[in-house]
Amino acid sequence: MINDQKIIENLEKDLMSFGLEKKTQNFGTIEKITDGVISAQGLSKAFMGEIVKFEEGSRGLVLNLDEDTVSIILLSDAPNLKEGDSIQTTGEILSINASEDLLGRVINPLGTPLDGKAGIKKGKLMPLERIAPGVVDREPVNTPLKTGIKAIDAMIPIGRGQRELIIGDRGLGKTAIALDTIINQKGFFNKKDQKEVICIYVAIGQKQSTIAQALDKLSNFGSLGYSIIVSASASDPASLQYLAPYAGCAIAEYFMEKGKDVLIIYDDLTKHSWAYRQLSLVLRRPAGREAYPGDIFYLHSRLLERSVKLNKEKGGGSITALPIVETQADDISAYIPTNIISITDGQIYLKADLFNLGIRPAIDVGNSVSRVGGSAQTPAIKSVAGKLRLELAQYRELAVFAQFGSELDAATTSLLERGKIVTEILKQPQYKPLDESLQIISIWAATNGFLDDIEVEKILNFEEEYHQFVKIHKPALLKALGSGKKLTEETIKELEKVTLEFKKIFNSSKKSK
Amino acid sequence: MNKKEIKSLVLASFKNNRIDPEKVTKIVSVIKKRKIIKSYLSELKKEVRKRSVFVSVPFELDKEELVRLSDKFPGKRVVSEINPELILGAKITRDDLIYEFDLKNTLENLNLHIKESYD
Repeated sequence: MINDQKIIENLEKDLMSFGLEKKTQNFGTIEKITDGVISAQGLSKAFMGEIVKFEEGSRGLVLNLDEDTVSIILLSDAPNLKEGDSIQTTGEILSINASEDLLGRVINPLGTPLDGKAGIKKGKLMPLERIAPGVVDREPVNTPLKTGIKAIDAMIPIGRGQRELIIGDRGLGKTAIALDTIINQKGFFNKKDQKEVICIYVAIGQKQSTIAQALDKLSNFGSLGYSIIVSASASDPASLQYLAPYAGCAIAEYFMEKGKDVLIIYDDLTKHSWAYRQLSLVLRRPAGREAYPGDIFYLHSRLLERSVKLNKEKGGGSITALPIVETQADDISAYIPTNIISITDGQIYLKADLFNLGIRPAIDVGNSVSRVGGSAQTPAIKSVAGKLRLELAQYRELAVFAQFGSELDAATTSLLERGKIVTEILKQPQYKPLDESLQIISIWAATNGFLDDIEVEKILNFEEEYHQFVKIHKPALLKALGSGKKLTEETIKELEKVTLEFKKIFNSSKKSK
Repeated sequence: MNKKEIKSLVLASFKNNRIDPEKVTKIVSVIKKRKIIKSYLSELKKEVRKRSVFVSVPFELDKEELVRLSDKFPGKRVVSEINPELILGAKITRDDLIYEFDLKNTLENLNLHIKESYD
């Protein structure tokens, strides 16, 4: 602990070393202010991405270097700025103060707290713009990041260090998947064999009420302690909305360099593109397709490339990114969605038709993919989920024929019935992520025909009661399933026994009602 | 009128490295458009800044010191002004660069350093 004497000694040392050193500053004057972009004269030594300071104290970021002028975006409201005010360069690039104190906090992209709690202590200054780790520093993705959502963990598994896009129209549950994933990480804290995951939720251009709701949910489910919210709401300037994902990524890199695994959610990159388009148009950069600037792809590629799995020599940390993109009328072939699909390692595609049919999460398994695949799954769930995708694919094809009302053979009817059951078992309420062992129980029972004789409408009820039963009466089985190892014959026999035992109880309680 | 033309008008407004008020008045009377006058005046100010070096000192400089300073900046007009707030040293402004070696600046830097280092 530093005592007063030590502080005085350090001060004296600093005073002795302070000399009459020359300080050189580059300054300029404001020529024009338009829509949050300042055109300045002078500043001949300013470099791209440099922070500049205005006379009245506010700060800006250099984004354009023209022949005679420099274009600067304001980083905060500055209503008192006027033509002729002086500007000074600082020689600094935009950085954010990152430390463990950020956990549980809500901040803006400049690091200023927004939650009304104490100021954040000085940590490490992490630059917002940074070159992604090289090929040599990386290793293949091999550790699962469990979302707690059956459909995703079974068929579209995500690994730590992967970029998996969540794409769909408004109101289909994209943010719900992201929040459930954060809530599910609670189970990995204080576990010896599992590495914890720090979560960062970057809200870009969202309504403040939506961000408040997300904060409330994370707080209620005890997830705020390992999460950070970086907020640039719809009422914030476009400059802050543009910087928000990079600020979140800089904080994630701070933890990754310490060997931790980090999950970062960018909600959403469509609004991020709009903010960047607005800035670029005001900066008079040439407009391309859909009025986006020419470097719109680079905007996202350089961000998402910073999500990596580092090798052991570099600490073994990782950043898993779940970018969210909002489509219009299910159109995934639009400009921004196709850009980001080509950058990420897979996508989770949510469809309005499925949502309206009550299939929630409304994941279109046919068009969703995880390019990391089985490497991001434990052997346990891999063995159980293998049949799942095939059965669903067969069901989807046959369901089309069933609509014609023609007579079907027994095998087809059985496949259709099985498909309905599997579709039903993959439904999951919001804010109820499941542990892997419970997921295995549900999926195994469905794919091995143990639920064929249960009415489709009662499947979810059956599942809930079955989970409660196993938790109370068969904790050893849950532990065996949760180990992640491939199911042994003994475990499978035990599963059969338990499933049949519970089915008897469930059916008898149904009859008595 | 384009930027090049305005620049040539600005260059023509100088005599012996100083602004000639008569020429400036003539030029402004000929230009009718307010926007062009504004550009001309802005370019004129820039050119004056380019051709001059402003030296702020806490006390008046004698002729010898002024000559020595002029030798350090050949081709530029040295303008000196008194600023007692600097306490000691000098502050030199050339184009868009400020060279500060005064005690006020040193004390401000020290203050900032203490604030940043000791919370």
